[in-house]
Amino acid sequence: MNLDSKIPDGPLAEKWTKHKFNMKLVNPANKRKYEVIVVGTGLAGASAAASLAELGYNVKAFCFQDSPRRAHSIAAQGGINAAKNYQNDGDSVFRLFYDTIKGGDYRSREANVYRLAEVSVNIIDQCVAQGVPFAREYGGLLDNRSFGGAQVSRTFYARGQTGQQLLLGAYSALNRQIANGKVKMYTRSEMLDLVLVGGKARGIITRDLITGKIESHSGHAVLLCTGGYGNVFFLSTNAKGSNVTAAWRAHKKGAYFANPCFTQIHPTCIPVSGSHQSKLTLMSESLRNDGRVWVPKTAIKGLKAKDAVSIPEADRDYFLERKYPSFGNLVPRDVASRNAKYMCDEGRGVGSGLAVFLDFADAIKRDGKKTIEAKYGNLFDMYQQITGDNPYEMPMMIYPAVHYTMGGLWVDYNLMTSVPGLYALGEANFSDHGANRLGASALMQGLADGYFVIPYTLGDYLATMPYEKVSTDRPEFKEAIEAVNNRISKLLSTRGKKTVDEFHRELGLLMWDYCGMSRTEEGLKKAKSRIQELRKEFWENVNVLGGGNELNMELEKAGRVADFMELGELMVDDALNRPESCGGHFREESQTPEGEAKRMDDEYSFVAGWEYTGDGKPENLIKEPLIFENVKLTQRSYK
Amino acid sequence: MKITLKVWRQKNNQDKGRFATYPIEDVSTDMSFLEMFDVLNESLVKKGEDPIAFDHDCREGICGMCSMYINGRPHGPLQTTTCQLHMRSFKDGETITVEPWRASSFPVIKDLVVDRTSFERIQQAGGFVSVNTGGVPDANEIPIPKRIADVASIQQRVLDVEHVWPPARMLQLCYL
Ligand SMILES: Cc1cc2nc3c(=O)[nH]c(=O)nc-3n(C[C@H](O)[C@H](O)[C@H](O)COP(=O)(O)OP(=O)(O)OC[C@H]3O[C@@H](n4cnc5c(N)ncnc54)[C@H](O)[C@@H]3O)c2cc1C
Ligand code: FES
Repeated sequence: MNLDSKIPDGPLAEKWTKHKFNMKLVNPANKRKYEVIVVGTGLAGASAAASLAELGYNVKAFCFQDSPRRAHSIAAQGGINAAKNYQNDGDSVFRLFYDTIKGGDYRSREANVYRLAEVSVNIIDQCVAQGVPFAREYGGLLDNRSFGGAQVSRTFYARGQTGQQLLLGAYSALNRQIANGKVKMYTRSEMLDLVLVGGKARGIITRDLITGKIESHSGHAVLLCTGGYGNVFFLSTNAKGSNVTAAWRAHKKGAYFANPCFTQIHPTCIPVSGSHQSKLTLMSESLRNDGRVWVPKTAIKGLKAKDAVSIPEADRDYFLERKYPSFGNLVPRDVASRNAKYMCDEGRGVGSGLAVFLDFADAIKRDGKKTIEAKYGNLFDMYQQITGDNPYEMPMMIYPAVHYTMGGLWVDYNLMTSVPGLYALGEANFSDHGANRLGASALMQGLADGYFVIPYTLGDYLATMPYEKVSTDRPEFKEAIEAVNNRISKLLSTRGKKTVDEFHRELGLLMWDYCGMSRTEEGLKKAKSRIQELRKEFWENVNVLGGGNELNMELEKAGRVADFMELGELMVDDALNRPESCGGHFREESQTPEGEAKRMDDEYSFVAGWEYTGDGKPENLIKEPLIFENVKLTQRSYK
Repeated sequence: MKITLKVWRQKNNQDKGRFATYPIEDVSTDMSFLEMFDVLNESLVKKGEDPIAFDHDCREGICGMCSMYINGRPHGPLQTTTCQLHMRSFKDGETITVEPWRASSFPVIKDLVVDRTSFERIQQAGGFVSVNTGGVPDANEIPIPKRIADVASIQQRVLDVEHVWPPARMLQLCYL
């Protein structure tokens, strides 16, 4: 099997326009004859569901929370990129494309990324028309900031709540279609399997989380907009419910999983405070625009933030400014994270030893407390609430945490997975960020996929499909239901000694230690065998109380953790299989003399697509070569 | 620190429900309120008792999913969400009462989980913005004074219920 990316011919800048013209159309009167299943109603799913319904398709949408507006997207703080060049500082579609390809360390597709940059401008127009209250300048025009290592100001933001405001926009568009009767919304519903009929995605199996009822839904196409899998690490900045289940079940039904080991560790999170820790809180990256990162020049054990204030300048090491004079504190996330780890490995970490300072004293002196408060007030408040420290008076303490997953279901240029009729949008796919995502590009990608790509590309597929619906009485649905029921009974009947969280924590620690910020062959091999043992133990010794026909949150968690275990092993395989370093994937064996990630372009310039071959069997690796015609591959350097 | 939790337990919508008391030792002041519940739930599972169902997701104070009624106040003593409340806000030895949100429009589903879909219906009744995807003007075509944009972007929290509705965008659109 080959992975055909279906990238259109022609010059980069014309591909999307030409492709839009060449795609088949569904006659407006016929659109209502098609039913589209959208799983997930975060930014990607809500924008897709609303836009498809506006076009006339019938949509069934699903989410596991009690409302679409709770989706993890709501937590995005910093902002959303777009190549508007409102600031006249030299931005352009090509520059955003170039930065994204380079930032992804040359492991993403040129054509997809160019399209993303191209439609980015439409997203901002769309959101403003919906009333999203982006920050403005005194003249009334939109304000921008530079974000996450970009050398132009192209990030649009709504205080520190950009994701919330964008999601409320998409949610409002979705609600309009729900009210119109074009979208039927199923909340507190979890997709537990994908159903194929004749090799095509034709439906899903869900569990009503309140009654426990297992239900079948059929449609002409299925869109997975189910977010990322960062919670495989147990501790991450993701919402507690974020999970891989929908994508993983689709993987087991034939959808290839691409680059699973490409995960992003975010440098500015609140450090772990104890073993009770249930999740990590991100402090927006925008803080690095004004905050300076440092540790003491010589180790001071258990240094507290309040005592840091009296440490003289000469005894501080602003390590990012020292090592990367031109980017300073704004180096990309992976570089900032790894360097914080190095400082802590050297023993110069502060607080518990696993933290560095992020200091605003100079910014407050320069711009005044009021200005800083206007920019970051809510983040400072949140920090104080969680830690009890006041960042206006003393530095914050930060440490890296798992934040985003670049890997995901493999999709072609049309966002279709390797299963015909199954699409993946938003963080659930692997498409645009290569081995590392730039700040403020996930929101952009989710909304690009949902508002501006899928409404075109889905029509091209549906135009080839008969109108007839498939019945959920078919054996394919019955079999899937039976498999789902069996799995649930197995989880409920094991009645072992360990809780789901105990397994999840153990898995998370293995992943963090061996498949986290830096990876070695030896460590990965160790992790692989430990994960296999853990998985075996899980099915023999997990304790899930309660029944299947009621609200049972332990059961929900158990199903997700079981999938995370299988995914974790695939992530380790993928990391083992890529001995180069690139972006967030740092293999200690492959570094430049300066200790930076060293790629091996001749051998590893490909997308790793993994094919499921059966329970407990090794997965098949299928490579999609990456071809660069418009950018020159260079070693990333932020000196 | 040590605390005693008095928690509302209700198997389902039909069940009458009752308070159950759980003494908890070794509570760290750095724990969030929900982490304290995680620890309690884990110990209940270990004892073979049903864990307490409660809603939560982001644990960052933004999604509005967490919803406890603590010591007679929604989200407890601070002006914040339950997930952002930390144990340092309570005294050693304190008894803390936790209930679901009781209101006829929010029927209890189980324990501390209530059904808030009535909120969905408010916006679906017409509280949305009627623009289709595509075909909209350039974002900078209509300037909006910073003053209006700032007011609109102040986080909307109605703590008595949850994070609510987007009056922000309404305000901005009224200006348009
Ligand atoms: C703290 C934080 C801050 C961030 N800040 C930024 C930022 O400033 N800028 C930026 O660009 N990006 C940011 N990101 C990343 C960005 O928020 C996410 O990548 C993006 O919002 C993902 O959107 P999505 O629509 O793909 O998925 P999500 O918003 O995660 O939505 C997933 C949806 O799928 C549903 N779902 C999942 N599984 C199932 C299932 N099995 N059955 C049914 N439904 C299911 C969920 O209910 C939900 O509706 C941030 C991320 C975090 C964690
Ligand atoms: S869990 Fe999201 S606001 Fe509390």
